Amino acid sequence: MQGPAGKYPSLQIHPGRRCNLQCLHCYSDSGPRVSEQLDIDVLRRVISDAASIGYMVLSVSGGEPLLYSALGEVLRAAHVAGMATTVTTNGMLLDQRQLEILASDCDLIAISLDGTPESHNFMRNSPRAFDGMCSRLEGLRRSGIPFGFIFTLTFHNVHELDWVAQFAVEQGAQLLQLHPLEPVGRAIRTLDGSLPDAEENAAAAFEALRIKELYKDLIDVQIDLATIPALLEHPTRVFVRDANLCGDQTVADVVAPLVVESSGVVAPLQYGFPRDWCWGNIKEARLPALASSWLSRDYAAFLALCRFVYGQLVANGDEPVVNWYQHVHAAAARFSPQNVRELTMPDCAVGATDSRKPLSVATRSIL
Amino acid sequence: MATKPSGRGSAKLSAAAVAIKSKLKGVKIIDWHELGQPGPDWITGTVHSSLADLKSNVTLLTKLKELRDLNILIHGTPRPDLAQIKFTVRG
Repeated sequence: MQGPAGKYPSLQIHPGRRCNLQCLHCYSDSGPRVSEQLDIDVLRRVISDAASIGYMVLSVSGGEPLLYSALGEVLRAAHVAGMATTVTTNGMLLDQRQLEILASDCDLIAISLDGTPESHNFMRNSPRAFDGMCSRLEGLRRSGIPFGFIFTLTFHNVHELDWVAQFAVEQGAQLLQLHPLEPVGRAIRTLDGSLPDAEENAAAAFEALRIKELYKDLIDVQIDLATIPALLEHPTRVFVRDANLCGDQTVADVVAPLVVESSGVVAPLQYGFPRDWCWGNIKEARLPALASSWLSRDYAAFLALCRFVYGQLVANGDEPVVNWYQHVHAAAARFSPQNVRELTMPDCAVGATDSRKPLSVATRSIL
Repeated sequence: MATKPSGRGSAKLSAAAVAIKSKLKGVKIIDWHELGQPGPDWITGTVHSSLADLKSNVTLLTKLKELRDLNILIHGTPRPDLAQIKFTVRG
């Protein structure tokens, strides 16, 4: 089991929220009429800063990243900084021109696929979404860019995973990632009752294992869920660890994925993470400065929050397979860093003297 | 536009396998086990089928992607008149 930070800590950026679709489950509330986007100069700076503090993979999402006019420059900046790159897209706009832009600096394209054509079109809120995406796959294969599919698991669709896997294999995909629906953004309003529960998560984990075995030489299957035994075996991977960075550890080793939203807000773990826990805004300060200030201000509270979530999951035992992200998100929405400090570290609450060794942002070369 | 899906996805995982019982034609059930709750994870069955229905019943089973094992034994001398079909289906 790889933890959230994983072997290759990733920086996820959302350059803009403009999108050709208005998906029902969109966590960033993107759509055709949303114009919010980050300036390319800001993104270039963030990418080079992120690489300098240890982030090794750049994942570009959105909105629809292919609608961001400087996408090629974003990917180039990441390659120059020594980061691997991925782009998550709905696939409908992957024409020859876009593929030429992506060919030189995109290491993996992840295409969203939410089930059979009917289910996909429902989730994508467009009757043309599946056919539009399919029509681009031949060109994508010809381009030689490795690609995979991302399947959003809901309460209703685990039985479609089998169809999705077969489709992905037939299309020559190298990766199938299974990501549970997040209770963030538009999904809260439009997909009430669609969050997968413990039973659906467990069924999905078993389906993923079966599919992995079935297509073991053909496709890599990843699932963004964890089993309780895996959590017990690797607590550090869900941030149940000591607060001090040790050896050559950098902030990227302890907080990843790191998300840069189109508003400039830097959030740990996922888009829309409760605002109290965010690092700040990259329009106001450089990333290493935000990291440094977050480490000394909120990191210990973040670890305490993770320990609390871990303790609950392990003690509860009702859920053999858990969506750790959802649990930590819910806990973060309930408790602010200040609450956590007051509850768990009274001597470290704001205003008190913190006698611990100050944390610093170490840098390391990733080239 | 497609309609909003309903019901548990996991309950639909075994739908095709469960439905097989009612789809087999002209069979006498000798043995039938469904293992797992709420939907069965495994179904093992042994049925007797006339030779006239054998082809359609075997076709039905082999079209199931959940089929994991199938044994057919032909009975009757000197003229075969009965087939025993034993199968395992993943729910």
